[in-house]
Amino acid sequence: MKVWTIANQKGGVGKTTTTVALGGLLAAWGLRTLMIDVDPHGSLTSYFRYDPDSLDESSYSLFRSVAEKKSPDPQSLIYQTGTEGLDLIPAAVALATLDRQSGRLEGMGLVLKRTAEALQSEYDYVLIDCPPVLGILLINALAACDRLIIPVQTEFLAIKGLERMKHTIEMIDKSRPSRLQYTVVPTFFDKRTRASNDSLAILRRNHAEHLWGGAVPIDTRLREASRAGLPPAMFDPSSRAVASYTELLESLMQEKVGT
Amino acid sequence: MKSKPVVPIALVEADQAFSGLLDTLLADVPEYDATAEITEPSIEVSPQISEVLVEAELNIVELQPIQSTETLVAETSPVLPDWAKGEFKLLVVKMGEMRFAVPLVGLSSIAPLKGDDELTSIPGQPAWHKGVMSYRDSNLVVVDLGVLLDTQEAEEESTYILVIDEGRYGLTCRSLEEPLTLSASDINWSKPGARRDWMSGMLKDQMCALLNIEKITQRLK
Repeated sequence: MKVWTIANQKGGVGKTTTTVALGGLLAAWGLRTLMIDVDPHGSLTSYFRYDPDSLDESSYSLFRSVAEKKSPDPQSLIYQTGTEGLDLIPAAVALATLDRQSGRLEGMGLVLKRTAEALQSEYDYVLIDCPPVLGILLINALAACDRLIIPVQTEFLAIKGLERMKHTIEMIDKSRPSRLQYTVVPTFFDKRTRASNDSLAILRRNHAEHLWGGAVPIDTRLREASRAGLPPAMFDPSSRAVASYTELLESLMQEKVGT
Repeated sequence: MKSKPVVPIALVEADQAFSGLLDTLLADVPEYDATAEITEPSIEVSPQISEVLVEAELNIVELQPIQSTETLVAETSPVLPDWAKGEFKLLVVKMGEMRFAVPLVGLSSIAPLKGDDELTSIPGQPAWHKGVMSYRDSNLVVVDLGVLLDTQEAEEESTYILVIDEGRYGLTCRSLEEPLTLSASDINWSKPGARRDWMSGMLKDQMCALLNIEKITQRLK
């Protein structure tokens, strides 16, 4: 089983879209895939028409069990997405309160790592969609994963978010048994605009070692797929964005980038 | 009416706070067992403290100045150096984790660096000043370019020195690639007034910056 975390300490860079796009492709390739939404906004959860405000069971239940010294039962938190081979542990708004109410913190950073381990035989891939805030949830996701995928909008301010993320990675590396491998994925790329091209040039200049060679284009089909509640690969397999995510997935699986 | 004295709260450094939080969060506690009874009294971390720890890091992160990269490109046309009028040769080198292209016309020579023991360090020099080295009967100041430009950590694995400015300075680098023969159209030239004056432009499709040796030499002086 491989665990990939999709994160950036800046919002609106395409984290959820990247999670769903990769999850849909993995499932289409016959790989059993679980997405875990730990973003209190619950964008990934809403994508599949679940309501993060009213779910009884969610990723929040994992943290709650651990805090109450009970063994979490991840199996009971798994929801279907309507796509065969693609499952979801949804988010709840209550996740936003975790940083404030976790009185006893020891080991609370390893909840997702242990969840993934408990589901080892059930799935080939686990994708974790993160909040853009540094706290217990993001630390959990970074401690659990084999690889971090950082979507970066090809826009100047988004690149600053990447610098923050790199600092977090440096800090996390000191606590992990092995260095965190990460791949920077340019998103919202519009080759007609100067901002996109200049931003990509900056990424290539400053982050070449970890940068995926492609860029996910702006594609209205992604928004339409979201409106339909379907992974992009199921909504329109011939779209430009799906072609791009397919290339990304191939290179991630061959561990070509960011190793 | 007397007001209560304000008691100052000492917050630790942001990185220290974050690594303390990480140590706690990632502590390898035993597997959870619902049936086990807790016999040892446990020390609770007060929610206020954990909040402060998290916020200390968050605040610092929020306060980082956002550099305006808009100034990278001024709305004027680039001025090409004379050597770039026809074909020219570039040497691509690796410094630290980054690749840079250096115009061969800007290089005096390339010297192997067998080890740091060849360098005599001089106290009181800036961080980029790695020391001086005897080279062709004179002293060469060896420079860590990544540190000078504040783009990366100090280079630890230097194997070559790019000698510039008629043998006065040498830039450490990790490895060399085959020289490239290019022409002006192969480069995205920087506009005059660009913030990073140490680069002349970017090689198209090569993911590496073309160093402006003249500007770098000016900085050294």
